Amino acid sequence: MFTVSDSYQRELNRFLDSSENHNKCGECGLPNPTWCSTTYNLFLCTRCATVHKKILNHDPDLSIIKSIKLDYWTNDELNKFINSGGNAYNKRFWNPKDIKNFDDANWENFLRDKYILKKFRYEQERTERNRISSRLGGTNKLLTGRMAKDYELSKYSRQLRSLKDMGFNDVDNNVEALNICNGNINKTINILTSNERSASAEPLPPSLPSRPQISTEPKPAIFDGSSPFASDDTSSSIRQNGPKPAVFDGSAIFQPQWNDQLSTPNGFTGQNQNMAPSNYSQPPIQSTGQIPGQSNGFTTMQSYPDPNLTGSQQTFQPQAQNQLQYQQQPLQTSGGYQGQLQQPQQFDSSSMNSQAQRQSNISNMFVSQPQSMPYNPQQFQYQQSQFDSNVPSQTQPSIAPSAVNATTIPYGQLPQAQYSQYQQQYQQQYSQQYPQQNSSQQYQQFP
Amino acid sequence: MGLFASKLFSNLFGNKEMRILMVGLDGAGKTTVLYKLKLGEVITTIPTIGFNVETVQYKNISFTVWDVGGQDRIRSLWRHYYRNTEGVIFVVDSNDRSRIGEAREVMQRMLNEDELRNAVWLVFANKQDLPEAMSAAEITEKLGLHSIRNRPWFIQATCATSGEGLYEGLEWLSNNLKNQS
Repeated sequence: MFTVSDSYQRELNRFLDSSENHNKCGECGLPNPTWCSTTYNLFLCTRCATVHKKILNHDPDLSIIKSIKLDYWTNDELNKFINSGGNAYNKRFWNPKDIKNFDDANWENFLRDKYILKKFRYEQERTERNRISSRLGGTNKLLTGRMAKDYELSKYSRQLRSLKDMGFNDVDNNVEALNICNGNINKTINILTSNERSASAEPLPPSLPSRPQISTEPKPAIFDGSSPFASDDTSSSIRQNGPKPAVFDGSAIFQPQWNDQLSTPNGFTGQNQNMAPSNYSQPPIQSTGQIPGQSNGFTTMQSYPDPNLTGSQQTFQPQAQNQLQYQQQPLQTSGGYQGQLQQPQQFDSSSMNSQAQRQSNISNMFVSQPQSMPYNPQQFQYQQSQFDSNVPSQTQPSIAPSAVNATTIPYGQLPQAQYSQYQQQYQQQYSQQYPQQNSSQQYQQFP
Repeated sequence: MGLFASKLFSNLFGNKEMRILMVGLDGAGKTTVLYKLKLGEVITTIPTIGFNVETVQYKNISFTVWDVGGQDRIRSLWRHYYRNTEGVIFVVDSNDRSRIGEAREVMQRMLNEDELRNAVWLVFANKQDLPEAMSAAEITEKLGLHSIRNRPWFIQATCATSGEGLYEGLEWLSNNLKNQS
């Protein structure tokens, strides 16, 4: 009956068994796939084909799904597909970071990240974000946070439901983004995630009055607002207070943004290109100590929505200041104190989009490690346990707000007296909380 | 005789049955439409190989809806479902401009089938929620619906995931069933 296409069938089967494809689904690795995507050029099992159809269902991300056995193939389609490089090329192109998904319930989000948000590529994510922010006037803050109107709620009710399922809980933001995108849910997610990133890059609450003003040395041309992230006040002030390597004076002209890491002379590798805006504005000193292989190895080990993702990674999530703190406060000795300082900051582990930030922060940890404090995984573990048990919110003493402010003070500008005052208070508090432990040793005793 | 009696009985009390065949290109959303009608919820479907069949009660009519897979090679199997079909729902992916021509060919071929000459023709212009979806009018033109002379036809813009338009389509089917009997 199918004599005409029997030769097609043979070709397809040969390609399926080739070394590029190993007779496996290109997304999940299940053997004997029966479908393929002729736009993304890979073989798919039934489940992954379904997810492709569901998520990548229209331009510009349209994935055309064809059955190996049940569809007719034209010569052109067949040749194009067979010469495409198959699963191996798809992985090289779309997932060079080799991020894996071990959560079977989460394939939709994984494929959305992979193809629509392009999170697993080095180049693409940045340009995508720039494209959105430039379309919206180049501002860092994408959404105004206005109230949703009633008619919009009913108009977008379906999309809002699915957005809520995906973990975007701010209805006002969702409606506004939907309005911008005219109801297109994939574009909406793009905007919402960018907005989330820029929101997490916002400066912390105002610091103590004793904080000196930003240094008056002339700004390099690269900060003059042309960068979409230049409005990030806190980090730019840190940037200016920190020492600058001379090499940047010469290259600044050619660098429109800090995140242009390809031209950064200090050994920034592609590993960090998935950073959130807050991380883009790190001082270049951080990059000087980096050994590319180090962060590389670490990120590769990272699995996608790793259920064991706790402790060190999540505690370090929100601000770049956290890392700076380590380098720039040589006075710190107690891990317990450090943990308390970080508690009040925003922490949202439910957001699927903080993945990139977490990841980049991990590599930053490595970077900052040799300079002042030894990296101690147990310490971070300890901080995480506090988040989990909600201890801080209940036992936080009245000095908490000023302690928040202390976190924003860069590089040795906290007066010694004030600092030791905090330290005392926290040590007292800790000894109340954990009477059996000496505050300076807590983190070492934690299992 | 018993069968006749029970059929007469149910007809007297207004219960009618209608056999519906739902076809369309692969990925048009036929299975999603079927289970949205049956269960009222959007399920994650896998490409249909073979068929799904469900009865859907709407007003006093129970529709037996046959949803057959739309892949190229199994379209030739559709003809086995033609007999006794009183209505055809042809589901079109409104967003897929590149294959609307293929949809037209498939549909025109079906319109010429002898076994389907008495079937009423309902077109679902599905996936209207997508931003670049073609309107029902545009699809009417591209499918050549205006050239249908020998039977009642109707095009309904739908969105299977939200359920919009589905019951309007059934409403039309039920009205036309009444007209025929």
